[in-house]
Amino acid sequence: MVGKRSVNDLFFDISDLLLMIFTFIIMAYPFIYILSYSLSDPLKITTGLVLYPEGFSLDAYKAALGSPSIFHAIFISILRTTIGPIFMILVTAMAGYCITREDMKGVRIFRKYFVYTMYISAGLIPTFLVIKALGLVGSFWIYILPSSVSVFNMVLIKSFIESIPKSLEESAMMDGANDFYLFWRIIFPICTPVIAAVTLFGAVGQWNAFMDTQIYNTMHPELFTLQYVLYLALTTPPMDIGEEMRIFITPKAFRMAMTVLTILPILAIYPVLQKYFVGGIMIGAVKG
Amino acid sequence: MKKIKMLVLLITIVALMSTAACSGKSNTGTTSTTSAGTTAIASTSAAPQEEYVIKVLFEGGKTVDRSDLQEAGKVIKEKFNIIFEWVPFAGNYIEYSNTLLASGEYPELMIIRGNDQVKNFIKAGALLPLDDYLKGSKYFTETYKVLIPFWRMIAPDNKLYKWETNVLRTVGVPTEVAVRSDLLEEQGWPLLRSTKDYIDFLKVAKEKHPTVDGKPSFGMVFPGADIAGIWFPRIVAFTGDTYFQVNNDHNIVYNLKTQQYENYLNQSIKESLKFFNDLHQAGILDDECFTDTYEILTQKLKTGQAFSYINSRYGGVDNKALIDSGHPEMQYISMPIQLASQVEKNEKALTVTSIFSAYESVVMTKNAKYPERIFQVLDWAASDEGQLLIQSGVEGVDYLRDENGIRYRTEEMWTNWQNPEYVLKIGTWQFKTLIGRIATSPVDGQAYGIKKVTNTDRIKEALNKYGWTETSGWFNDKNSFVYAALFDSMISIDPASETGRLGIQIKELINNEQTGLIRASSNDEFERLWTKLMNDYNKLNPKSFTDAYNAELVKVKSAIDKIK
Amino acid sequence: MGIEDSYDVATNAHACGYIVIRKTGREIMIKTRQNIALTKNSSWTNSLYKHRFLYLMVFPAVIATIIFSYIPLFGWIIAFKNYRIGLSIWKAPWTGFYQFKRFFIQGDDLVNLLRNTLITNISSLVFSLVFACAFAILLSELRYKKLGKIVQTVSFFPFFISWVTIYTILHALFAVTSGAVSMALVDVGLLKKGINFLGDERFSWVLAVVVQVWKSLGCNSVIFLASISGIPLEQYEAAEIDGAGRCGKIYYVTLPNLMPTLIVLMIMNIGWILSSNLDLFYLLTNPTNRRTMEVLDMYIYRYGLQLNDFSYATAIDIIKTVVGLILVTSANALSRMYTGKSIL
Repeated sequence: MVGKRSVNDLFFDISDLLLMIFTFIIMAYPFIYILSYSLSDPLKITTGLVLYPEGFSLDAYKAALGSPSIFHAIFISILRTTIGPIFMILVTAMAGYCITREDMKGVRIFRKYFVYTMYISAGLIPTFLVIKALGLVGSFWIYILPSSVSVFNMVLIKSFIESIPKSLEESAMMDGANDFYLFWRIIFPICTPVIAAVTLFGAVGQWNAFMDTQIYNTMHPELFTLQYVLYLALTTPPMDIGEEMRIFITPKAFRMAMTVLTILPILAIYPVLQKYFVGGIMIGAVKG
Repeated sequence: MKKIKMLVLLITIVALMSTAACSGKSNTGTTSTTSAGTTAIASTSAAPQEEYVIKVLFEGGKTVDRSDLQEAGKVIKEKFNIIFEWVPFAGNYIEYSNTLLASGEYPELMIIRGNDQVKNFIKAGALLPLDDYLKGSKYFTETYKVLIPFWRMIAPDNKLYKWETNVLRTVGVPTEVAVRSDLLEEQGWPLLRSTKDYIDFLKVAKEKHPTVDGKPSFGMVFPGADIAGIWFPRIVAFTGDTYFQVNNDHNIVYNLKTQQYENYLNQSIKESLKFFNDLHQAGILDDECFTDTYEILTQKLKTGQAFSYINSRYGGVDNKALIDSGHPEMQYISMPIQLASQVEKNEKALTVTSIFSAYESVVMTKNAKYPERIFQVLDWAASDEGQLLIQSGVEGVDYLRDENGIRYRTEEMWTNWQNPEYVLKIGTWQFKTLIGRIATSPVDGQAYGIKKVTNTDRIKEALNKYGWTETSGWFNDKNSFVYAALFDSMISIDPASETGRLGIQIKELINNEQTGLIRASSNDEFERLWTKLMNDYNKLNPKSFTDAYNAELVKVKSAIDKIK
Repeated sequence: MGIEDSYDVATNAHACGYIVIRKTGREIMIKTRQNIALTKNSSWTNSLYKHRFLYLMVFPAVIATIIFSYIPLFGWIIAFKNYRIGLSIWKAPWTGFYQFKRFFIQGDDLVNLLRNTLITNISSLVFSLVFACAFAILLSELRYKKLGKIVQTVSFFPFFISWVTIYTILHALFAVTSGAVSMALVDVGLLKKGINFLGDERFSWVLAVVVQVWKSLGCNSVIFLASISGIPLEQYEAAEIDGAGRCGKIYYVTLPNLMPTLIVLMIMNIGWILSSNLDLFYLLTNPTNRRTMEVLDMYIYRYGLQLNDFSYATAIDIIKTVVGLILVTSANALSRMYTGKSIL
């Protein structure tokens, strides 16, 4: 029996390993393509499969990092990626906890009130008018305030809290803790895995966002984010230089280099958050 | 509690940092826009010495460029103390300009796509009429004398609200095919003209060269997944002397002989599609063409994998890359193309010029701080001096003159003119799009823009074989330049109306069906699919669409008569 | 539930009290008021006071939601009007349900669009979640933790690559003649001609689904990883004592614990079943696979926004919202009935 089990386990381990390696390859390939392309000599690189840089040239990176505005864009991106998730966690997690409290009057209304917003879209122009009335057009806070409530994340937090045994909460209530204290001191620490996940979503969302810049801060170059600059580089139509000639203002290698720059931060953020995902140790310890 | 305190502290720090970093700059932005509306009236008294920075939204561009760092911009800065800040934009420009209009957040100067949108802006009262400034104009009224009445036509109060750039230019140029010159040499420099010539030529070439440097070769390529590339298979229909492709939607044609609009699907279109089907049946058409974007296409041209490329005027040929990668013999030269039936009738290829360019309209909005100063720049740009600077750059830097006074590009300009950094630095591209570009009006016998291009040795050699001096030499010898007063940009059918919708349906139907036609495996199948397409097309009642266009044409013509 | 019911009673009594007041005059009014104040009403305000911190905590989210989600809804009015850009929304003439009718009489077009939309969206929803769940489990079970961390990080990369770039890579790999896969297959002699993954109607749905699943795998798996981290270790210990192997533990402990997350994600996502990723479909659609690739959102884009037809676009937005809300509410009700899980 034991022998059979360990054979099964071994088989499981091996297939698990192989599957993970396969996943690694298909996930990493595009990055390898982009990296190789950005480092290649533009004259040598052509169509088809790219596995390693052909020739070597740092010109694309020189061009990408050549203008000072790119550093400002990186600064704005980092700023919104730091402040945005903090705001989002504060507002969303508190609300997420509140909508688990069945004893709160109107909790069901609150839930519907929040969840419905996920499916409602008012259209670009009305939203723009409201944002303008708030004075957020051309301001940094347009990146932070509208995304401070993420109902998707709120529901994730809510359902995580619901999976925690109620006894914990009740015993704290017995001790006369107020709800604010109860949430921040008891519930929030237990929620670490989901908070980490949601923070990651928030950070990635903030880092990747460019639509808000495109809509609200188009005329404010001082608020351009890195992703928006990349978006500009990617979608800029070929420039008509006259005499029926059109050239790409942003050669492919340049765009690839920009893409590499935008992927790099995940290498910084993820390992930090990762330790909260692996293993079920923390919960056991807290509950024990 | 410590954690929370830390958190709160952190947030305040970060928040303070952000406000310090961003608000300083963004504040200036908001104040300028809010004050713009109020100062617009009192602007005349403003001191011209004050530096005036105007943000201009620009489709294309990657980072913000300031005009005072560009050659032409330096002159403008010196003369008028005005600096343009080119703010890049990418995305749906029409949608964005709608949002700006709805919210009143529009910038001081704005490029607008099409008369429909200009009309919307006028209706909303967002624009500033130029009439008050015209009196003081030295060059503007003179240069655009012919055009101003037409520009006025769109305004209900007959005031002048807009100007156009890129006017008086050639809009219908004969289609050219870029062909690899070494293949031409191999077959004894044949003159390719009719669609039949191409099929024979490419068949031989493809047999001889199934691969290029170990990579698959392609007989004829075009960017079928590109928004504009989708209509290339129909382009050969417009190489004769009758039909002219008028609007960007490709759902109606203009017959130059009858001066009327006609239904889109006709015998020429069929012949053009059949040509592509023949290419496909012969295995010469690139199988990937329907999934190729423009960028992928340029890759194929850089390596010489593509033997020929229809409509090379669309851009993409990069002979410099071929030279740099060690294949100078492959450099592409341009060949004419016509339908076999057109060649039989010995039709001439048309070059159609249009005086309007509504798609490139520019307006001054009510948010303009010093409209008078803007107009001064505009007026100066209409002068010979301004146009030369805008289109050709600075003498001595960007161009020189030979002993006969003919302008030609400097060595530096010539080697760099395909280098984006360089082009952006000169900035002529942006000025052309903003403050006017007159394409065909000449000074000292030459156009403002430099046409004379230095050919490489290889190209010269190839051209010599044909006795041409330029790469589109055949046209210069054989074609007749027809000046047709085209009104298509004056004609606008409300896209949201039933007729406008029908136009989209026609376009969609043809775009959807054409692929099947091109890929038909036999002539019978092609005929069957064509009959089916014609049935579907006729069911849509295309006549009503054509009639609507002709009715508009009559209206525009009578309005023009009134002006005269 | 119990507590909440009693509140409802309290409010009812409160309301009734006022009805009585109007009918029978001052004396009774005072009396009833006093009663309410003494008994029911006090508990009502009491509960408000008791949960004051909760209300305080939910307040910022409520305000933000009102401002950014509900107030802009006034814009829905343009669906019932013939709104032209640049004119006042209020002055535009009323058209009633004209725009809605127009959408429904599109004919066979609509059927085709809905088919493509539903097939691609339902499959990518189901496959995305199933693969993400499986990936998270396999990752957490992996013996080599270092490798696990690397794979996990790398799995996020595609999420950061824009669709335009992804198309370039897809073309480099799968183009019919020059694509690496096709060339390899032809070289080996398996095929005479490459497979046209990008330009063949047969592959369009698979393509759209696979690319979406692939791109979002890393992101989707995070929430499952977080849920796995939330599983108490005691449960695994208990399963081990019962003699469960590794697969057994996954089956008896991990999976049941992930079910709530899976259900919640399903319910939430089902509301977006009519919305597609426009960027993706815009790039993957080409003249050869239009019939099978065109989705509802592309249609809205072409016939609404590109044509300046905001009334029409808004009408379709409303239809989509209504459908989304109906789907979410019913999915939620079903789930509550059968699994006891609910998000509303």
